[in-house]
Amino acid sequence: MKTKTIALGLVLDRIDILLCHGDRIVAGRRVDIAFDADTGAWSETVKGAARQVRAAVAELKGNGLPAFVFYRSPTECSEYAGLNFRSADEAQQAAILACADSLSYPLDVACCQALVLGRDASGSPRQNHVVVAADRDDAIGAMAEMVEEAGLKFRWAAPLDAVIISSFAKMVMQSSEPPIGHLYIGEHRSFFVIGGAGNILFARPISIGINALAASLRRPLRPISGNQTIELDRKSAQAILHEHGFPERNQVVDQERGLTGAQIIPLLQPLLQRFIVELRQSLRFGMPENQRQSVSLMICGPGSAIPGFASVMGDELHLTVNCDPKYAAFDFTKPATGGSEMADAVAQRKPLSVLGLLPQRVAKDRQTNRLTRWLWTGAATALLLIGADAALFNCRLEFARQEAQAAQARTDDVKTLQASGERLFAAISAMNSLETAIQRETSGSINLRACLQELSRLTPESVRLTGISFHHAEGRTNGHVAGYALGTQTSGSRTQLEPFIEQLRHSPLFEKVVLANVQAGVLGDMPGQRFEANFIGVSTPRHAPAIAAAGSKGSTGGATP
Amino acid sequence: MNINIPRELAAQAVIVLAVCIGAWIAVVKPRAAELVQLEQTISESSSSLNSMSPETVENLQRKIASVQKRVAQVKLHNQLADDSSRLYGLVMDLADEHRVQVQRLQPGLELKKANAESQFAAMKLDLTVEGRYEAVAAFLEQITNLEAFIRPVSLQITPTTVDGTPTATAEFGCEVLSFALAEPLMGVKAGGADGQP
Repeated sequence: MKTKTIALGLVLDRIDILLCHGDRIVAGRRVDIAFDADTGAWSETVKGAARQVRAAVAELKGNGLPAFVFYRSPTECSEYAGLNFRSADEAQQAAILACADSLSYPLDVACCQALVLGRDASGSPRQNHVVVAADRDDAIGAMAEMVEEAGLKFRWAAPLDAVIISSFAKMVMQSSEPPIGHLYIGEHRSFFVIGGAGNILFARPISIGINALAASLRRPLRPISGNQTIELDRKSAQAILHEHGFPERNQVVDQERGLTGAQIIPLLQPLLQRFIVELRQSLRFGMPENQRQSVSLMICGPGSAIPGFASVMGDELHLTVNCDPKYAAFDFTKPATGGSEMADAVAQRKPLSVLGLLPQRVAKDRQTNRLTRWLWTGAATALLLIGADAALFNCRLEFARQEAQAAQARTDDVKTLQASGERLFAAISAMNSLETAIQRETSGSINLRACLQELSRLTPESVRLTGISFHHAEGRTNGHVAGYALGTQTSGSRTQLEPFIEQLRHSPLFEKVVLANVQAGVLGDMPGQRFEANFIGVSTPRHAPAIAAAGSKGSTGGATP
Repeated sequence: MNINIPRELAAQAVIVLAVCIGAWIAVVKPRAAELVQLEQTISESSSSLNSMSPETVENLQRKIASVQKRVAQVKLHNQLADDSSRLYGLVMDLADEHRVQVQRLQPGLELKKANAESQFAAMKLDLTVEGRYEAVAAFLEQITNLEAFIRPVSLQITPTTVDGTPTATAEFGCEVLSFALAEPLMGVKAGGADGQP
């Protein structure tokens, strides 16, 4: 969207107030003011014009709009330099230093800006082309003050000549045509550039412009009729110049005053000659001899609209001279006219804003405001990021807390299980000790019934047992039998004692059977041998006691081994 | 271009920086620390969970079930040593069952603990029975197979004749043991069939 701005043109005799949409002038007002060439008076005049400018701004309904100032002042400096530096920054600094030498005031009270137009596309050496704009800080300050008092927002002020030079030279450099001569005829100064196809071969200002031509017409002249000399005022001189330019000798240029070309041409001739000489010398320096005669000349700027100027120049220089049709509509009476210097400056405002000068105070304030904005923007961004970070952490924390809670519950269960396991292992250990004790205290027992049955089975008829005893001590059961081994009538004194003992020895239930004591004896009326035998009962493993069935009194029912 | 920073702006910048750092320390840092701690807790919990596999839990359950069963058995076996009247009843029942005459039944005093390492008590039991040899043998076998910790100590069998019938008189001495359960076993209660702790 194109923004509305106000462009102020402060030239030697007026202030043009132009309402712009983007880079297009839509309306304008003019305030006629005669600026003094003296520096202090100039600044005071500028400040004093605030009221008139405010009124013009109000007519244009431009109150509060940002304002850009293109001006000419007694102290401004607009210089062009072609420098042989590879680095654009070095070229810029060198141009500013070179300009400082031509200033009539020290650099510390000056505002300087430099714009690098570009570097030659070819040639040797390839030069960096720089335009420098400079002026006193108080002069810029006066314009800033005037703009603010007029109800506008001061943005910057740029010397009009610096903007015109930059715009013109850039246009020449960017032309794709082979190098030709370009002449910009401005109101105050003219600029001559030989260039094209990305190169600038030669460039110089010429201190002759429309104002100089108009001023030359203000010298005393004698009309055709009458002997009194007349001096044209500034407006009449400008009107004759822009309407008739370089007329024919018999051409009437002012019917009322009775002026013809015959009176005008001699006034313009000296200036024209000077102009031609400047151009001829420039061509000599800027172009090789073999190209000098074949080069053409393109004239632009408001001065190109002066009738006959181009043809006169062509005749004098013997060159083909063309005029840029963009400037044909220039009307010096209208501030918003096309083809004016202000129109060229406004059209190139944005790319050439580098040349905008600021009072040191304003520059410092703007820098401080910019830094403050950066600071608070950065702070707000940082706090926003911290808030977002905290919110993100909150989300993650919420999830992590839930997960940790669940994990803690699982861990508690595991710990409980581990504790149960530890108790269980302790119980198992205690159980193992108990089983060892039970085994130790209850093992080593014999099966009494089996032993008694075995004794009954092995005891023959001829052996009468009188006593059977078992005694458990020190982990083993000692057995003792006593009885009588009776003899038979057929065997005589031999009894069955020996076979009986032998059978006891072979029994799996007895071991270490020893016949202890044998005596002759009588049992009743039967003779025989009284004997005693000792043995050790073989331990039988105790079966694991079965789980008691429901309702049992504890009777056996245990499984047999 | 030299950037001249006014003193006031520099002070504001320092304050803003301090506020931002303070806000971060006050708001973000505690949360970050808490998050790290929680993640550590979760990590430790995961590793402890890995150490407790389902197989381990099953093994524990099986062992608990077997220990519970054995403790119940031991307790059951211990009951007879503490209840002399019940022991008397069982002996008399067995005597009736096997048709032996109990001539003398003398539960003895509780002996002192024989072993300090495995605490157990022993109650001496002396009895004299009379009957047929086979019946006495069967009777003695049933006595030793009661659901108790019975340790035979001595047996003296003497043949006699009662009313012309050859019998045997047995003087039987045994000890009824009671094993004390250690403290880890005291808390093991009889569980269900699934052996839950």
